[in-house]
Amino acid sequence: MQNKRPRPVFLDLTKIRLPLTAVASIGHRISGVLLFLAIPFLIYFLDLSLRGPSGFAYVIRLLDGWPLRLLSVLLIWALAHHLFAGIRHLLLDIACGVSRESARRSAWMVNAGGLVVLLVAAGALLL
Amino acid sequence: MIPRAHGLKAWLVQRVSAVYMALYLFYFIFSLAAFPIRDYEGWRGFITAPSMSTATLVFLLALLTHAWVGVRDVVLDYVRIWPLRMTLLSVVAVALIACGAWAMRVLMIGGL
Repeated sequence: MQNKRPRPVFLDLTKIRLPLTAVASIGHRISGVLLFLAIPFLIYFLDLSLRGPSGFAYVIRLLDGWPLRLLSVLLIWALAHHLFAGIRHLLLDIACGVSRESARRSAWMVNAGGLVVLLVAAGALLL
Repeated sequence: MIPRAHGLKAWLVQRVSAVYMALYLFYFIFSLAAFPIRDYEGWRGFITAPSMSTATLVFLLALLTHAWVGVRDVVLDYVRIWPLRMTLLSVVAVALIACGAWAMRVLMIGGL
């Protein structure tokens, strides 16, 4: 069925307010894409680390450097948010926490949990 | 082979792989926390023990499958130009298969 009237389009990013549930959802996507991009590096590091003592030492040295410390903090956030949002998703699948209030509450917990892990990782790796 | 990831099958694949990866990560993080790795020998012994290298390979294959279903959904949502969409999906598929082959090589040959 074709709608003749043009549908209202509202894309003013400065005025759009994302609800907590939408933040958890887009965060799930963004973190997923980040983790996807990390896959070849993960396998590369696994490869290097198993090649011998010098390869292992090289990986440790790389991980100890500032660029990878910063990147690790980002990826740890991505992993945490993705994991929490995924657990929330699985619970919603079995009809657990589907009411609006509990869905909002769990979205808040996912977002906050990700940020807590981010802060802990930043404290451990950057301070 | 690219898993035909659509509908119920993709939904199920995404969840089964997610649960497996969560359990693996839980085990991985807690065993490293309980028995910190000190050197190459320790790391190699940990990863290449028969059960662990098998579990790790399954983890990486679950990760690649999970990534395929997820990235496929993202591409289908945002890339509306058909040739571009097909090109991107092909590149992602080949890259993920290459990563799988690489992971197998590392864990089956490199671990020996």
